[in-house]
Amino acid sequence: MKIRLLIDLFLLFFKIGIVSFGGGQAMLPLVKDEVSKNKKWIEEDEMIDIITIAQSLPGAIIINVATAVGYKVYKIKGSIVSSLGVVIPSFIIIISISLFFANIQDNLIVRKAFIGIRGVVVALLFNAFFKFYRMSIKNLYNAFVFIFSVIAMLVFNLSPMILIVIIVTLSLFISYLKRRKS
Amino acid sequence: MSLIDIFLMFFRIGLFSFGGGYTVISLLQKELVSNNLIRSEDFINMVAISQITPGAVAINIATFVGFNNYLFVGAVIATLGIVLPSLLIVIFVIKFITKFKSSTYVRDLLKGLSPAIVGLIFVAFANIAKIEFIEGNSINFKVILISLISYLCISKFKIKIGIVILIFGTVSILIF
Repeated sequence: MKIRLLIDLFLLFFKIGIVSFGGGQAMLPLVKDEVSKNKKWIEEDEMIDIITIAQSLPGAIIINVATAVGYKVYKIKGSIVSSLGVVIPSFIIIISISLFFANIQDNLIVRKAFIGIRGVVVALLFNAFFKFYRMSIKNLYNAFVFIFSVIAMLVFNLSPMILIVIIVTLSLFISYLKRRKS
Repeated sequence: MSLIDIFLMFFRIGLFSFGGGYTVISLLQKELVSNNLIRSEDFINMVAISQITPGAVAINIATFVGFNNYLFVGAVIATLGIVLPSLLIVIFVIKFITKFKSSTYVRDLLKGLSPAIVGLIFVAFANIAKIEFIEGNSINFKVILISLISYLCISKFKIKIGIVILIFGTVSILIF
């Protein structure tokens, strides 16, 4: 049944690739539910770790998540099949647009449709934020890191890369201090 | 630029594209326009097209530039170039983290990172909401209404995302 599992991985991420408008973050709750609740491939707690790691590393979030889930489920083969699945829909769409619809973004109907679709993307992002907020922010320390990160990025325009480097350094340092104490 | 140069350039961009979404666009623009791989106005068009197609903007642009310079082979090579760094890094890190899952350092690291990542998602939401909801000096109530109703469809009524996108895409052709 191993081929079956690889096909399942490919199809799941292909499906996600088709609807992943507005970057990958909006799709994270869908991926989490499909992988942990529907397919039961990875426990929910571990899935949240995976999503955290995937966003802390360079690259498009949705591909990082696909790679990480694929690797957890079926090692290297799984990671390749999942990333291919998530990339192929947009690959086909972009090539078709280059060939046949060079000025599709100027078409009035298309432009009108996408005003609404971008409105849906805003809702998807809020949905993603709210779901992960409830799962990750459980005590005062979490809340402090969350507020610190938001202010650093929104008010002081800190780049996500620098923020992540700061958080990684601080977390490891605090962990080290805790260890020495005990 | 040769095919190998294109591959290496996108590999480099893939290595440094952090935080997803729009942070990578300025890096892409600088590299692509200065190497004459894309004209400035085509780049802006491509960003617009990426907003109306699924998938990550950076990867879509890689596919487009590869295709325009070396057709299908170019599209494959450029897309691979931008995807490969994160593929390798993610596999390496997941392997490492899984191995040391019970280490207190790894636990504390993930505990610190996880709320920061929630912050990252919030910032993505806030930035896009600002762009979509505010039009010059006025507030775009129709878009806000679409966002509110589609949020209810997704979170309360559990309607599939593809269907919600189709419905509101159609609705907004009629009301705008």
